[in-house]
Amino acid sequence: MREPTGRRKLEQFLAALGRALRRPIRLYLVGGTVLVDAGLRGATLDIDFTVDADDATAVADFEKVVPALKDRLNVNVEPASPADFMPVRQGALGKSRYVRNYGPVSVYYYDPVSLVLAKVARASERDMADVETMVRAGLVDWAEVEAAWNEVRERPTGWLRHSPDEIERHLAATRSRLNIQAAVPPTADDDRSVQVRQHQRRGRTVRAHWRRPPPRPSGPAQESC
Amino acid sequence: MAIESTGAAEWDELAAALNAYGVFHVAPTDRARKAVPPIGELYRRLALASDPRLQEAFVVLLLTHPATAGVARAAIDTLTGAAHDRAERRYVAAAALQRMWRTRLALAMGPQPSIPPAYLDELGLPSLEEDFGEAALRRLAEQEQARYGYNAWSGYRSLMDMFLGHCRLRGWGRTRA
Repeated sequence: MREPTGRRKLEQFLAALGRALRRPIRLYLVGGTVLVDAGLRGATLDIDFTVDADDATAVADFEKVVPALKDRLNVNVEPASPADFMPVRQGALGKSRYVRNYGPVSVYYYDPVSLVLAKVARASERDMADVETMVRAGLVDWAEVEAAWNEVRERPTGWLRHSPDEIERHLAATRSRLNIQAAVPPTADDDRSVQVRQHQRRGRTVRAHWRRPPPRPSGPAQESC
Repeated sequence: MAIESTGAAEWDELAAALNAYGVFHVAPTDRARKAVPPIGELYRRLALASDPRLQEAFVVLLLTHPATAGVARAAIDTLTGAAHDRAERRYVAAAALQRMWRTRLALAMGPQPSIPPAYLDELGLPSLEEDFGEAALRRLAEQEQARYGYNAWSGYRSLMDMFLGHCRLRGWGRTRA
């Protein structure tokens, strides 16, 4: 078993990759690797990634280079993606965060919202701690996570590892840990003048409804009568 | 003391006993009703079993019934040699895995008592509090790989994947012994 990878070793790997490759490639860091690179975690067992390139030869070059680098630098390198755990939101790769370049290698953090949902799906204690870290560090906005979940939960496929119900239970546990109340987003059928929020009271989920005030008319402020 | 059986008879006896304690990932080939040993005797028999899947079931049984950790340690105390070493390691593995997956286990089986730490000093392992138990399990797996030659880390990960898939099933952990 190789030793876990810290930031210094990760940096060495990325720099070596940048020197070894010639054609442009996009390398999306995934999972704990993102937290290590962002300085939010000390080490990760594996450098998890997914790659993409406009030129298929670039990916082939990458696949030839990585095994030798693994051995030379004594790191675990694993192709992985949040899509391995559950469906990801539309345009997830495009929502990834550009970090920096190493020669032709452009490094991104895979869509942080999808990373969080994948960690919630798996829900190991390490995953739960990582989610808390990412939210509290501002790497991800929780409202976006909820919106992404509402988008993907209706997908008919992609649930071989975890069912939607299971992930919903994990999400509830995560909200509790983060002390976040679940917001029920409006649907097309909802009366948009009514706002609905749900919260926990004595162990039960309670939905509270209240009517939004009407929009103020535009123009100068009105004096009260 | 029960006479230990071997091969298929051992498999049937111990699989049936596991089923009686609500552990269903193994099943006997012969479904005829058999006497169910006390759980301490079952831990001992699993540690001595010839089939690696039955030896691994020591971890599964302890994860399912963490309140019996003291009974498991008492059973380990009756063992010697390689069986004693392996059983100690399986106890530590269960304790580490429980900490690594505490939230998932609580959602599946309700809140459970922690398996108390044991054997860490004599095995030269880090605290179970380090890295949510992962540091201890990783070091344990490295030792097992060096000593016995198999990829213990992959083995423990597969075992836990299996357990997390099964422990949500109706009746898991329900004892009829």
